[in-house]
Amino acid sequence: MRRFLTSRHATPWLLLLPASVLFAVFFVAPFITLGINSFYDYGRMTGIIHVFTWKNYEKLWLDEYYLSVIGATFRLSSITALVTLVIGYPVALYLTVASPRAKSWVIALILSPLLVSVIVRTFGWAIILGKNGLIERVFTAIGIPGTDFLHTEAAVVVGLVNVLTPFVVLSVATSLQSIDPAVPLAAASLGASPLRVLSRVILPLSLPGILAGMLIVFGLASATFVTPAVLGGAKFKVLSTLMYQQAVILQNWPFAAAIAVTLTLIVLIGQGLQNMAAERSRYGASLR
Amino acid sequence: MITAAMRRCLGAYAALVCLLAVLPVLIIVIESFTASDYVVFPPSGFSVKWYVESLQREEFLDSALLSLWVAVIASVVATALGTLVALALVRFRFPGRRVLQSLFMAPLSVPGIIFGLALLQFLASWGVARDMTAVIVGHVIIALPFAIRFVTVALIGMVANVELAAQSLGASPWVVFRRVTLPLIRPGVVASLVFAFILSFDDVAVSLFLATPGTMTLPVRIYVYIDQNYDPLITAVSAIVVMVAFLALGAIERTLGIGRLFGLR
Amino acid sequence: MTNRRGATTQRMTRRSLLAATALPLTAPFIQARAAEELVFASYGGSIEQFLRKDLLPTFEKETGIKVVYSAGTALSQLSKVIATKSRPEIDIYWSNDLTHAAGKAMGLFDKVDPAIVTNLKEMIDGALDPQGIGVTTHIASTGLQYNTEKFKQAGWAPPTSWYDLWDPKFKGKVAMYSISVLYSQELLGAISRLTGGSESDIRPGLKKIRELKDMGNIAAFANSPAEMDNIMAQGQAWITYNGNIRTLLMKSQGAPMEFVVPKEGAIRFSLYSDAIKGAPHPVAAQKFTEFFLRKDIQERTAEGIFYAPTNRNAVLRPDLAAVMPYGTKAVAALIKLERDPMNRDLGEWIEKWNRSIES
Repeated sequence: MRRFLTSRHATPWLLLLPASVLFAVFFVAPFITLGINSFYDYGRMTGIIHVFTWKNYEKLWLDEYYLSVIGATFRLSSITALVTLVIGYPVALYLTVASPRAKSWVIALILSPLLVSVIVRTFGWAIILGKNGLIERVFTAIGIPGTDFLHTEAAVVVGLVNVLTPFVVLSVATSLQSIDPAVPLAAASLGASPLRVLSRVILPLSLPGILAGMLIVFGLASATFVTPAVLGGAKFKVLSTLMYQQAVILQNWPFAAAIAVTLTLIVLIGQGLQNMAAERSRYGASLR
Repeated sequence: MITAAMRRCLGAYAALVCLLAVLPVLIIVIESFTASDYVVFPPSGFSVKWYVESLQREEFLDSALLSLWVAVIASVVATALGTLVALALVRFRFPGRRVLQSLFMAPLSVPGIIFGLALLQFLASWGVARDMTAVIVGHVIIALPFAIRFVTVALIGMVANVELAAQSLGASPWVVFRRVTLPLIRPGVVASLVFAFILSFDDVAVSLFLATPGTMTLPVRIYVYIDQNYDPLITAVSAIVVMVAFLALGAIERTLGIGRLFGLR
Repeated sequence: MTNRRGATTQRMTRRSLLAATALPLTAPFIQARAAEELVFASYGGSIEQFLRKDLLPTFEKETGIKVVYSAGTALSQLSKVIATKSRPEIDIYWSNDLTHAAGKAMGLFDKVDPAIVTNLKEMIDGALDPQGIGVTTHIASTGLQYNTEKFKQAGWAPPTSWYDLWDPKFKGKVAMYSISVLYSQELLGAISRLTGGSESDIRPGLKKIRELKDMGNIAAFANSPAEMDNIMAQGQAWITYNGNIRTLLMKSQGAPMEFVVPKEGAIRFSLYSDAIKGAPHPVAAQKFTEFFLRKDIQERTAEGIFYAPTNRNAVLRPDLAAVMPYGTKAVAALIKLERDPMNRDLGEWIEKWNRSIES
């Protein structure tokens, strides 16, 4: 019986088995093929050329243009993760104190954009943010013309935050939910102001939820291609847009694979940085 | 700890966030009631003809039902597998734990387009015929990171001593899990179910390549339709999906309570 | 031992439960294999609708072959054909001439069999691919599209030339396509030709289009035809280049749009029917090609989705004939871009355009 919790041998592996098998066959194997592909050459007239080359990575990592795109991708994902956190955290906090009915409404409403196909939803944003759009009309009416900000980085962030906020809200709410209510109460009874309780007790205790939510948002933001393309306009290029061009328009799968591997590395780096920051903080211990 | 004034402020703030969240959805719903044959905002005239039209399109209904089944099965499978993985990763220390932790997160950063293509090529090379299962498997893989993360967060927050206590009182592992662990991590499990469902129901990239003529999910159907025609039919179909989802949520709310389901106090 | 048994039972119940629920659910979605079948891959939307409702039932009735329509975007279908090369599942791929050139270069397609496709001799010159791999089934054209309402309000005359896009009065009013879309690849090829370059030398065209960007005429880049429709319908831009069928479609829906054949010529856009090499139903594929090229079927297609026939014997109503490249003279007036060099250099085209225009 005790082994259920104390066994260092069989149990964790048994728990991991079903997911690992599925994962190994349908993710790791195709992904390794993808990784191998990224070292192949490609010609329009010949298709994939099965000869080992660093060409794709050289092009991607040493060329100024692609480096700037990698930078833009990292920047967009980071900004989106931060903005969703800032916007989502108070909502998650509200969920812990709201009435059941209000809770249901908030959850349903913030999830609703995810029910609409990404293209249709993005066209909706284009109408709101674009020329003669909703925002511009409202601002022009109150005397501030020229507020069309479609085709900017900000527009992409708006579009992404719109769908990614729920991931942070629910992740943080899950974390907040598991805080023992006695802890903040104790802090308050010892004379800590509400803000101090929030910043010194609640915030640190919800760190696992914050980190999980931000990682998910970071990853998803780096991989979407419709939103940056439509809302960011032609000037705004991120890796996923270029990868779509290479994979689907040009069928240059080796180069697309190299971009996909690079994207994965970016997310891993993001995850690493996040873990480092968390472990440096004095509350990081709770994560280990 | 949270004063009434703070609570009101938070409430007002949450309302504002909700309003911004539904803005694009509102635009689409408004557009769908247009009387014209092309999409324009603000719409010209009021009509429900596009709803009538979309309900007559069997292929959209078929795809919607298919998407529903795929999403239900994928979210349940992903959450079940994800819960087991999270239990292993949080409750046990074993060599390679961190590596596995990162590995299971990897699908998060692999763009769906490339994953779909890689999986298609992989299945084709082994001569595996694709049916609904292929799409479900693809969705389970992309949903697994969410399931693992959400359940992990819930498990970290939970005090493991409770499990030990139950166990020392003679409960079997299954009973411990069913009666102690599961209720305590329910918020994470429900969040995982919801997001896995929505990810699956919203996915174009992976399904685009795995789909066969018989297994076109709704997002793929819409994507392929919109490639050629952007007419109000698509806005009406989208609006119907949102309305049905809200009706379903309303029913869940009535019977179970969404907030309670998430276990939020 | 108990814990182990517990875990196993748990997994088993779940699995059997899953199997029990999944099987009956999956069943209706698996295609029942008919005696003879044909998997036809092409566009979705109104084209799919027309083929499903109008043409395919006729073919099925005449031949007893059941057609499975696989809808997708032109390029996602090509990607599928490549990915399933080892075990093809698509029999006929009906798409544009650039994807035809790409697939042909990679050796994905079969030859047309003149023994079954007996109506090849009725086709206009050059319809059959020079190597006999694939055949042009229909023609469309790419030209200018403008918003008649906005032009009227501004008191402007309709555009007449490709160079009108460079008119300073269109500052911030020109919508472009992203280079991912064929229409922009065609524009680059055509402008290169008109400015002294060619499909093998796009420098002049790139320079000219760069001017368009520098003078601030470009309002937006559309990533898909649907996005272009949205931009034009919302009045975010007033003029663009587009396929004639796209303008006709919008016009038929009541949008204030008009198509113009520029005086330098519109660009020829050909649709190709290609049989996939090694596909399961080669004979049915050839039979379908024959059916697709038939005079009456071509007339119906022109009527239904505005694609001009390539069968010389097809006769169109005057009003239909007027809006599409129909007849020897109209077809000859089209700018026919060399697809092979375009296909060969497409990677560089996209790369150069990305860096100089969409940057």
